[in-house]
This record gives sequence, structure tokens and C-alpha cells, in this order.
Amino acid sequence: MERTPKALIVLTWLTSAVFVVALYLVLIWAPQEAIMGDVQRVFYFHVAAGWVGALAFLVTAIAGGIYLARGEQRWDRIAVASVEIGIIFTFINIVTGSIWARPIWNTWWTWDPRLVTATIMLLIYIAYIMLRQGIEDPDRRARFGAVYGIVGFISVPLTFLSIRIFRTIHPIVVGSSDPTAAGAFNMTADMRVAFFFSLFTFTLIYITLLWHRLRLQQLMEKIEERKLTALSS
Amino acid sequence: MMFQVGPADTLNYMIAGYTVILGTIGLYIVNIILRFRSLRQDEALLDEIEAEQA
Amino acid sequence: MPPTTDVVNQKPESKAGGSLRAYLRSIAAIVWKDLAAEFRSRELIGAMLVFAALVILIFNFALELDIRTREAVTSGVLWVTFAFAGTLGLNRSMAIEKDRGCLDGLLLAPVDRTAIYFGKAIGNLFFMLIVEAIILPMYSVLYNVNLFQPGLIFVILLGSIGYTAVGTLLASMAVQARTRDMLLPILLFPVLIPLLLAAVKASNGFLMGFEMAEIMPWINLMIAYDVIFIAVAFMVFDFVVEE
Repeated sequence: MERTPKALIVLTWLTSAVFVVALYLVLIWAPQEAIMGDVQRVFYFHVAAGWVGALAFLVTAIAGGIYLARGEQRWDRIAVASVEIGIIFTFINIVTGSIWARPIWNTWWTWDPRLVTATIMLLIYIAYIMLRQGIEDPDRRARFGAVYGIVGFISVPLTFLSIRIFRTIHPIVVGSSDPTAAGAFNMTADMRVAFFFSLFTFTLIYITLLWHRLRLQQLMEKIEERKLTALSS
Repeated sequence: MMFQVGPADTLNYMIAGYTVILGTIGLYIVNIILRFRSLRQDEALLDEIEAEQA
Repeated sequence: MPPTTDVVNQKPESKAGGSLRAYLRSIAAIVWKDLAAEFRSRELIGAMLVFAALVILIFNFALELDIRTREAVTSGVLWVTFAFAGTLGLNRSMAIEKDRGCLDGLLLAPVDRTAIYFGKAIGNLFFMLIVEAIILPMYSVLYNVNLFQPGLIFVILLGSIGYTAVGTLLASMAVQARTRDMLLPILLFPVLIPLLLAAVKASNGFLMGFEMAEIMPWINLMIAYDVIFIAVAFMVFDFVVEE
């Protein structure tokens, strides 16, 4: 394995710095929400984590499609790396949402479309990992991963739609004016800055983690190959 | 919630939320580092074996 | 497996001229192979049926299906039963292909790979519909509800099509994995949720005599699901059976 590229080191430090700034913005700089109090501050990273989760799974589906079309291994590497990060952030998204819901909706869990869809999405990608673990042949593993990544990703909006037909109580903070959703609030200008900065920060974290994870995957594949040749010789 | 004056005291929930966020990301980073380390050990081992065979 | 010879004997040139007819013929040959094999052994449908009957019996005690609760949960019980019995059938039908080496034989045959997919999917659909056709009257008699309504039958047909379309694709991946029997439900159920949810809701709507306007969104969702996943499976199946 070659040394860590300079660009990646710089990116990692930059991301860390940006993350600290984002923490400052959401925890201290942004004003306290007038009704919900401090727990509303969870919202910034909650939405950002959800965004990264969805982005990661989209990347997996696209990388899988390109892999099937071209058969180049690097696209499969991107797909796996992205799934793992997506699982981590979707998990954060669900748990923080639940923590927020406890004081605001007075329950840890409701069967709201977004909650359920996020959870099913998480299960789909855990299944994706299990599918890959069950297959030894690397080429087949990559193909099956790509197929399931695409099938799973397509089913997510349908799942959301199907549960959406029930009434939702999840607040839509961005681009909605439904005042009846419990826990809805209007963002002040400062809040909006913190919100968009969080989105930016998490996207940056995603890219940095993806890069590191890709290098890990490369090393894993190299070692796997060398082990096989060592065993066969 | 409708009748209260001033913001609710939900600081504990906020702390719990950020603990989960920082904890999960931190654990994942540690996990990646550990995997790197064990792979590098494997790599060193493979180097040794190959050197012996040569 | 003598029935496969039909497929193998098909000449490559028949693909060029009248290619659609040749394509349909190969699908029909594969469906026929599966049905003929099943009529001889009867193990697949038998196992699915016994399993489905057991699930219904367990539900009876688990949910205390007295008259009042029964109406509200009938569609849910039915669809859970179909879904569970279906995975049993899918696993078996694909595992047979894999273990007896039929899949390799099929892959060597000069037919379009997607014809294999449609052949297997239609075969699986048949098995599922046969099981449903026996479960429905059984349930009707046991619980004294009339399940023979055209709307409900239509919903069951739509649901079964989507189920086997996705199920056949995922089962052909699952049987090639080390953990195959465990893997299929884990892969299949999260992807099936929109379909099952819509099927339960639409069935319930027909059983409770709701307005069509209330049922239509679910029917539309099921049609969309079926069309989307048949198209996706058609596009990606090649990569699942590639050697």
C-alpha cells in the first residue's frame, strides 16, 4: 500500500476543522428555539446525517450500475465503501430522530413514513452487506451487490410513497407551511446558516470517509489476492 | 407544549443526541483504523512468507 | 430432466427470424419443464400448502380470531401467509435448479437469458397461484368469510406477480450464496414492503366494502411496483446468472 496521498491528509484535517466549526455553529452560535429548547439543536445534524445516508445509497446504486455496464472493479469498491458509510449515517439519523421525538412527540417511536422508510432502508443495506458476505467469488459478489444495490434503492421511494398514504405527523421544516405537523418551526436566518453549514460539513465528512474507506477496500482486495496466491503456491 | 412560557428544558436530550452522533462517527473511524492495522499486519506476514519462499 | 430438451433443441437461427415467437416458445418450454417436474414430484406445492395451513392455524391461536377481530385482520393474515409460503417455494424452486445442475444446462442452451428469468418467474407465479387458490377456499370455510370477490382476486393476482418478479430475481442470487436459505427472506422482505402494504390495504378495502376511490391508490401503487420491478429484473438478470 502506498503512503497516504497528500490531498487526502489535507482533506482530513480540513474536514475536522470544518466539523469543529459546525459544532460551534449548531451548539452555541445558533439561537435557542423558542418552544422546543435545546433539543431542537439535534435537528441540524439529524437532517444532515439523513442526507448523507440517502446520498451514500444513491452513490451505491449508480456505482453498481456503472460496474454492471463496464465491469471495472473500482466502481464496485465505491459501491461497498459507500454502503457502509450510508448505514452509519442512516443509523445516526434514526437514533437522533428518536431522541428528538421523545420530548417533542412524547414517544420514542411513531410509525411515520420517514421513520419507517429510513428503518427499512437501513435493513435493506444491512441485507446488502450480508449478501456480499455470503459469496466467496469476488466477481460474483460484485455483480450481486450491484444488482441488489439497484433493486433496493428503487424500492425506497415506493416504500415511502406507500407509507405516505397514511397521514404523517413528521414536520417538514424545509419547504413546507403545514402548521399542524407537531414540532414544526420556522428557521430564523441564523438557524438557516447553521443548517446549511451542517449539510455542507456532513457532505465533506462523507467524501473524506469514502476516500479512506476506498483505500481500505483496495488494501483488503490486494491482501485477499495475495493470500490466495500464497495458499495455492 | 402550547401553554408553556419560554423554551422547554430539553438540554439532556440534546446531549444524548450529540453523544450518539459523535460516538457513532468516532466508533466508525476507530473501526476503519483497526481494520487498516490488521491488514497491514497481514501484509507484513505475507511479505515474510514470500521472502522465505524466494 | 427430459423436459429441458425442448429448450436445448431450439436452433439458434430460430432466434433471428420470428424472434419474438422463439423467445415466447423458450419461456413456455421452461415454464412447462417446471410444471411437469412438479406434477411428477408434487413436493413444492405440497410443502407450501402444509406450511401455509400451519401459518393460518398459528395465527388463529396467536390472534384469537373471533368474529370481530377477524374482519379487520383477514387480509393481513392472508398476505403474511402467502409471503411466507412464497419464500419457501422460491427457495426450493431455485435450489433445485442449482443443485441438479439444471441452471447450467439452461445457461448453455441457446436462449436469451431473460427468457430463463421469465420462464422461472411464470413457473413460480403458477405455484403461488395454485397455493393461493387452495388457501382461499380453506380460509373461507374455516372462518366463514366470503373471499371470492373479483376485486380481491385481482389484488391477489397483482400482488403475486410483483412478489414472484422480485422473488425470482433475488432467489436466484440467494441460492448462489453460502447462507442461502437464511438469506432469501432477509433480502426479499424489505424490498417487498411497499407491495405487501398496498396488497394488505387493497384487500382489506375490498373485504370491508370500501369505496373504489379509497382502494385505487393502492392498486395503482401495486401496478407501478409490478411494472418497475419486472423491467429492472429484465435488465439485470443477465448479471445474476453469468458464470
